[in-house]
Amino acid sequence: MNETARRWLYFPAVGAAVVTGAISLFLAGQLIHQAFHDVAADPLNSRELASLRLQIREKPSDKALQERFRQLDLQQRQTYFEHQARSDRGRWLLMIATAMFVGAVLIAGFSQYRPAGPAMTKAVSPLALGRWGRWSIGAFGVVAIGLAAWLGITARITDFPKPPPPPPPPVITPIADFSKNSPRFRGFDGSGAFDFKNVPTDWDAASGKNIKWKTALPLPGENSPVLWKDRIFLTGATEKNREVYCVRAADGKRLWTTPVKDVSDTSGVVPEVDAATGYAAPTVCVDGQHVFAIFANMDVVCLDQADGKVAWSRNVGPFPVQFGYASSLALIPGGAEQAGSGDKLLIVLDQGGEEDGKSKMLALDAATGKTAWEAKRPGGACWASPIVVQTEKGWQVITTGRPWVGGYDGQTGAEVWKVNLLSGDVAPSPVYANGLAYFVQQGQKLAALRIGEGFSDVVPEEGGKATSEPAPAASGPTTATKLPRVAWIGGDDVSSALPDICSPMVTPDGKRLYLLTSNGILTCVDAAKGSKLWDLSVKGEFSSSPTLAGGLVMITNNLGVTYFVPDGDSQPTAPPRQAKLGEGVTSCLAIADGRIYIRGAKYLYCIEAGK
Amino acid sequence: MKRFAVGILMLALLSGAALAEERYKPPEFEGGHKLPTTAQNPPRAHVLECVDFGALVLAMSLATWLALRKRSRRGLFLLMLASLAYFGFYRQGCICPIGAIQNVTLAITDSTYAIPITAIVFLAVPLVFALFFGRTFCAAVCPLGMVQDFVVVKPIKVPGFLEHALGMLAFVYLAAGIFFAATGSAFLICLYDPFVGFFRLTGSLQMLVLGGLLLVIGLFVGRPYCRFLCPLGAIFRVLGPLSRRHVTVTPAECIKCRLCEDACPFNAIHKPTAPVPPAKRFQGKIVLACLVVLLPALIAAGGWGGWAIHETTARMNRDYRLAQNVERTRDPNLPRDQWTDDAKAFRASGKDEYELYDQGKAIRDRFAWGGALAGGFLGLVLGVKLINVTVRRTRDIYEPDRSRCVSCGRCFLTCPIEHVRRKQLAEAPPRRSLDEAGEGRA
Repeated sequence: MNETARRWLYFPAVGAAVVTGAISLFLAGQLIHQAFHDVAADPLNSRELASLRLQIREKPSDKALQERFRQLDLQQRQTYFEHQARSDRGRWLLMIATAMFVGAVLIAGFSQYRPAGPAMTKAVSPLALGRWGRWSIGAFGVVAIGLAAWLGITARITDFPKPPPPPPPPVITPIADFSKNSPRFRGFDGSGAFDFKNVPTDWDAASGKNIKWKTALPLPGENSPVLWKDRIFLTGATEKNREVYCVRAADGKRLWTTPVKDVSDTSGVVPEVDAATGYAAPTVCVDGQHVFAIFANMDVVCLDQADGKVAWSRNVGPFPVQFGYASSLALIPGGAEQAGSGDKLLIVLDQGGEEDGKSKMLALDAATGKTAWEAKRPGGACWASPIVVQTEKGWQVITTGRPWVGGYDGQTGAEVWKVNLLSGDVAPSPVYANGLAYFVQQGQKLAALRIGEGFSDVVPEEGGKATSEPAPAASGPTTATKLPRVAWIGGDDVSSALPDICSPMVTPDGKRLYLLTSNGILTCVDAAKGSKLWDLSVKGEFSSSPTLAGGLVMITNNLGVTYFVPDGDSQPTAPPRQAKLGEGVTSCLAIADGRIYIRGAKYLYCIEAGK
Repeated sequence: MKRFAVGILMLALLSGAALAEERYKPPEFEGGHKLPTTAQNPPRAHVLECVDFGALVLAMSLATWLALRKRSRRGLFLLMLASLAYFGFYRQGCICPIGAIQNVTLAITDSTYAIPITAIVFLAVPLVFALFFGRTFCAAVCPLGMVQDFVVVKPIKVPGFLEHALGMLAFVYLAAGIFFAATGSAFLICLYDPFVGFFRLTGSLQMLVLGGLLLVIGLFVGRPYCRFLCPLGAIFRVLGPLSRRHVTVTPAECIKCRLCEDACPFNAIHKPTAPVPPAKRFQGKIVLACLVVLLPALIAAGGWGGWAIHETTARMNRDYRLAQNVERTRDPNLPRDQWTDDAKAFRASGKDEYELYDQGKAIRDRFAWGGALAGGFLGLVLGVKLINVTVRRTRDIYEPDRSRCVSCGRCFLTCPIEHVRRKQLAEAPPRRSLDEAGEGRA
């Protein structure tokens, strides 16, 4: 092509480049705008469809909604794909316009091409080249390192959580170990009866007679000593401080004291308590490895028996109840009969009015503190402690209450039975022996209920005002062949003997039931029939429940005087023997072989004959 | 004119990218629509793989012969067209030596990865040729280079200092490509291949935009991808100076006419250097010594920089992203509808999240160490480049920069000596001396 033709090509080419370039820019702008619009119009992002989807989930059978969804979905899809097709056309046009633009630019360049003639360039200084090169490369390095530093500093480092420590193996304490110790409130089974023959019956704190040792307890508490092998466990608390104590049985040395604080989910609110209840009324319970304690602010803690280290802790409150929390802890044993489960810590949380529906029971895994089950309890506030008894279908939790007393499956918390029995402020705990559980409340009644399966929840006519409701899962249809669940309800002869604080005590053979009123009337009841066998009156106010060991019923008044009454069907002829501690006692006695442990107002005493 | 026509034709073909495939979630209700069965392409037949290998060796040999022996720009141009047709549009840009870097890397770091033999061959052959003959692969075989070569319309001279700095980008890209391939996270070089979308007539928006952008830049800056981004080009830049033989501007004595410099759109021709006064020579030696001492510090700084961004780079890994997304779902304040799909799927699978977190930590550690290595490598490159530009080289003729020269043959067309050789000129112009430097038209 000659020079003239090239020159003529230049201006049309430049004009074409300008026009096609402008068109390209316009189309590119339109496509970008369209792209944003498409994102907004994407049916997958449609709020209307999302809303309809939720409505359909709530009303899956609503055909009109489904049809509306289909119509809208179809309409939005059609619109979306129309836009897509338009974008496709736009991209084609853009490509063509761009190609024309490039072509025009090429032509313009070609028309201006002039071969350069030979000429000299200026010789370059290698130093200058190096200097500029260093600066540019150095600048690149600085920018790169700076960018890396900025990215490194501003990046949020993902803090991947560590796996939680493997759950400790389930704690399964052999039943035989339980029965050899006093692992909870009032002995092995909460009945107040101990299987020891050798019991000291004579002591005097003032002279030190038979007082093997006494140990001061820093914080007050109404809870009773609990024994496991060579150790004794108690708690003490004030409004602000809570402690668990471990005392060596041999010499009374406090092995460890663990303050209970920093419980993760505690509210910090301590409910008001009655002075007689205090902040540490519930008695601890133990398994073979741990100590479990609960306080008025509902902090629950599990400590290692060996060193008092906290294994776990949690708060099960709030628990706004008059007088303060007083129900002691109990343990539901695990083991072969409860395959796959370890021991469980039982906490009764009866609260509020009868119709409030706030009452419940919690069973926590003893190893981890996690909730194993939670059972709703009918009725209102109650201050009694539960017992755990073995039935043909495993461990059953029995608890008294207002108005419902009931039995619950220890493995699942399922209600097995319930009987509308009591009213008022129920504090005496139930006891169990020989297939019967005994419930009592001052001014109400004394009743014995048959525990286990197959009983009819029908109250006999002679049962007075008591009513019952069948537990559907357990009791089944009432038939004439079934025994009524209520074995008996005490008559008028025992009506004046019903306690308001002290729990009853039943002999292990299930023959006699002892009741102790706060004003010192000890009544012996025929445990099989509910009739009074005898009674006697002793001096003093009583909060401590009666204890049986070595054929003697021991009752201790609030001044610390213990009376020894022979256990039997006949009324004792001689006045009861006495022993004085010299300080007030409101907790229950704990018995070991040849020893009695008594918690006074300030000291824990170990009494042993011949010391 | 031929070049112009080919450019138009090629751009028209590129417009086929608009046919990009759409994938869209099917309707949620029963509508009678049958989803097509997903089909998987069978592996390439062994015979065809051998054909690919043969085509590569043939093209490389031809390019080398045309550049070094025949010195034919026209021949190279025709070979470009053939290579573009075969390796570009027929083989759709895959397999290519640039991407093969990642295959080989992954094969080295992951014993479970079965690398195709063609990937090894496609990387090895251009490297071997580069060791002996320079960048003849770039001259007329690489389809990516061809695409850019055709659209060079009005090349401007990129300032030397900028050329040095931008040249570092290719090493960064190379390090990143190897790094992400070694960690099994992504084939970054393929993911952001700018031109493969044109060859396949489909591609993601980012791919097409990047390709289009590079082509527009390529109108004025010759082969921008090859010069400033190509990871294989970065390797070639190291191997080029070591090559046994290389194209020369002139077949005989250089007369320093400067025409070649004007003809090269890639800044790949070294100019003659002016003499340096003795005092400045000493100063240059001091600078050089300082840079040699600084080299370990640069490696350490680069290593630290690579390590510092491990949290950011680890996000390129799918498993790490999953671990992050699942970890976020632990936040009770995060509504479920804000969970990512992969986190929802993971939660629904019932798998152990802590195993995933452990995996995430291991991936992050791998990225930290890998990043340190990659950063250290870049620090080394930076230091060596600094030393390289500082080392004084005296040159009294125009000659190709063996690192940058892609052996395209444009300089042949303008060299008067070449014209004499081809008998297009009866006599060469007289040789100029450096003393006449001040008279140049620069």
